[in-house]
Amino acid sequence: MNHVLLLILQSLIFPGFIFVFFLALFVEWFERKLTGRMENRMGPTYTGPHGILQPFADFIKLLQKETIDVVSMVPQVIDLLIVLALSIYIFCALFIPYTGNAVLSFRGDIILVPLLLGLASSFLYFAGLLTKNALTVIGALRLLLQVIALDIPMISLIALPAIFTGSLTIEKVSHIMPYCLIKQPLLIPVWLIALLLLAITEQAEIERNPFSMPHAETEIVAGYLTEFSGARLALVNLARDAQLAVTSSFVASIFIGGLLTSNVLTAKVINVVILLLETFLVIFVATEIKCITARLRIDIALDFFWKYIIPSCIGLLLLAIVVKVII
Amino acid sequence: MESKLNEKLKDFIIESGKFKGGSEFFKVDRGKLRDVFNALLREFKGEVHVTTITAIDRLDEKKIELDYEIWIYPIKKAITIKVDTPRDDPKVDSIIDLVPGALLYELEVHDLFGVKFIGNSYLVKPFIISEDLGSATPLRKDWRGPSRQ
Amino acid sequence: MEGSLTSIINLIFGPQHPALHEPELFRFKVEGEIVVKAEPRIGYVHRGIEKLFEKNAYIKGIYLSERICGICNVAHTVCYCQAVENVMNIEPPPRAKYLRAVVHELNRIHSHLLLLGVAAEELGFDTLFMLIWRDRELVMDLIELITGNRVMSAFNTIGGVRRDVNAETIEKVLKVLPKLEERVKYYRKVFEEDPTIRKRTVDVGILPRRDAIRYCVVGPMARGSAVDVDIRRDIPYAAYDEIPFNVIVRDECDVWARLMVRVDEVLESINIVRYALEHLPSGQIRLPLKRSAPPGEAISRVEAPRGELLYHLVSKGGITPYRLKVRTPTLANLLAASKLFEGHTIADIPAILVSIDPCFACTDRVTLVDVKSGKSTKVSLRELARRGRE
Repeated sequence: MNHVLLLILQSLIFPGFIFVFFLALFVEWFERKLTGRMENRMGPTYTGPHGILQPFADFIKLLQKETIDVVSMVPQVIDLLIVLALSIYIFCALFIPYTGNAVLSFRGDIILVPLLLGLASSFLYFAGLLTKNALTVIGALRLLLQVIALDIPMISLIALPAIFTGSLTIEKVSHIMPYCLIKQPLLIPVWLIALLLLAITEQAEIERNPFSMPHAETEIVAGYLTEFSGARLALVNLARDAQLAVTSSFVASIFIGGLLTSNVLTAKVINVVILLLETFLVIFVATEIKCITARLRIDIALDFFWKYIIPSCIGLLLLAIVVKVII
Repeated sequence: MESKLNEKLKDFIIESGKFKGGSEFFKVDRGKLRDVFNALLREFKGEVHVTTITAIDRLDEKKIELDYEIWIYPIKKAITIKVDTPRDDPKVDSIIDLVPGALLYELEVHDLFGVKFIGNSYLVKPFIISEDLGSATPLRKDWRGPSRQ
Repeated sequence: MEGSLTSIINLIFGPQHPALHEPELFRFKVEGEIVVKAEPRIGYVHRGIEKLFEKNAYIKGIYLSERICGICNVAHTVCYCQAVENVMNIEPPPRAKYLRAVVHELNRIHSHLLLLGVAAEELGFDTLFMLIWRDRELVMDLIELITGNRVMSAFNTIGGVRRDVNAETIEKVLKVLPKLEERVKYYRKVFEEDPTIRKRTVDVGILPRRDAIRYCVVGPMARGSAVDVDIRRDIPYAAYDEIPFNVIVRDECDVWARLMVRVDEVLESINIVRYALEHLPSGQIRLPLKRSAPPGEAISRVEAPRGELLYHLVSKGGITPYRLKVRTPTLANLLAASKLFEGHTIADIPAILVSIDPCFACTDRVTLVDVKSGKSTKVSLRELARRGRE
């Protein structure tokens, strides 16, 4: 009973719904402020200290606005899909060891989480497709093509920490990760190349420049997001922020890791701080790439992925296996 | 090259003169408009640029005057070809097969002055002017405005 | 949506669209991501200005012509004032001509920087857009220093210019120009070398020289297609017969060439401003105002930032014009532009659109648009929404 109650509390508060909610909003502020400063302008400034309450204010504002339904929409299904996507992101957060121990953890969850993240993306794609607008259809199509292209690199890159650490559990990987590189220094160059490929793949996953085609503003208004408004848009934005937050946390925990294994309360708090800092580092890198590039065309991006990234990732995977066997 | 211009067009020119400010104009009979353009295009190997077609509604003289403002690239010269057409039945040959770029100007003159360009199949009214004006030709001098039609 | 995803969809850009900074409608028929046909429709900003000119005195016409387009307002007033001055047989004093050239070039720099920022934004490069517009503020400050306004300069009048510059102003301007030049040289490097920009603009929207001439395109669009024309050099006006400068022509004929032409023109303009201010003749800045004009006709051509601008003035005596015809550059480029879209993908649409430098406020004063099939293109809002969903 106690165990179930604990599970419910964790799912609702930390690291579940409430935590993801606030983390998502904070991550949005972080990205917006960082983007603003990189572009030599202010970014959010006035709502709250340094504009930190801006995403929250936007969320509240959107909830009060009218949700405009286009005649051909099936609003219930669209809303369901959006809520499902958001739920999946929250569910994935339960697998990430914020305190050093994940709420849910089993051997193989390192494969489950990217699968779920991809699934959530596809729910948003379906939601866009269902609005039956020329612009959203094109945006949804681009999203689909992008997801197909980045799936293979994502999986092969995620296999690398599993190979380095010899574990398929996110929790264990996050503990062992940086130390195993120190013990087997030959793996470090492999790790660095993996980080480079990861940066590119991650950009495509979170749909930021140069891979922001699915919601390309100047071409297709807002791509698959065009017809969303009011509370629906608030939820979609929250889902996309949660995507950024959870994906970055996941990547940080398995590629950087370094969490303490002790069960003392202070150690747990320190773990939370460490993982959040690593998450912000990942987001910083992603934002940097976003700011210094323009948007590619979908065919150029797909070309790039299929011709260069996918072979590189597979090659890197084989290389890692070989190196690991040799050592 | 410049003297050649005067020579080539000598057959067609009814009158020639200069605007204030120095640029030359040549008055041509409207039946000979296409001949003039053909001559120009032949002489200058197609490097003829039509800047615009200005339509002037000369109410007192009961005619609409069309000014083809032209820039000739090889000799870097700007000239104007003036053509008159009667006000009650304004018709002129279209030149869009010779100079495709003149299309929009012909459409514009058609919409605002009611001049028909024979051979231009894209003419449509109303186009830029508001739909409620219907078939009005607003830039004519005797057009008194939508409320008084 | 009937049929498969590869059937033809009508994709409508506008009249409101993030890619468009002024209202116009482009109906693209797309198959998958390829544009099969493009039909522009303008007239959303049609204000009946040519008719208004006929009802207002020449002096009021200055304000009217200025408001045809906010971005290239100096070019319009210069052209208008020249046309009126020709008809009135007066010539502005030399100092006025130099000052006109100075403000004209500053306006050109501001317009080109605006466009380059917008081009970066269209390509998705927000950072570059923000940075270019930040540096455009330098130009706005200079224009404000000289004319008193950031955008609508209200500088020209019939017979000269309205405000003078003193030595202190000249010094301030000359101090800012090197800073600006350095920033623009950096942007030139970005446009020339950045791989993401090049991938989106090189070999996109190719307009061969022959077509450029046949479709009568003007300005940087023509110069980017190896057509060597610049009104400032070919029919010198204001002080351009005395100021040395280069005409930038490129022969790559693609979107990239048109953007590079504009960047290089900014650098040339900076030199022109510097030369003009350093060689400013002394004297009056304007002649006493004449209210009425003798009968006559005059044509005035000017190189506006977007290309050749023409004013044809017919006067029958009196204080109002009998007819004033304005032909703005974007109209000339529109026909060629709508042909350029075909065969390209949707992602190329903003890139091509921005290379024309569309200024539909200019275009719509009195214009028309080609609909290839000749059908009426008036569609109701509901129809537009329905078509958007197809």
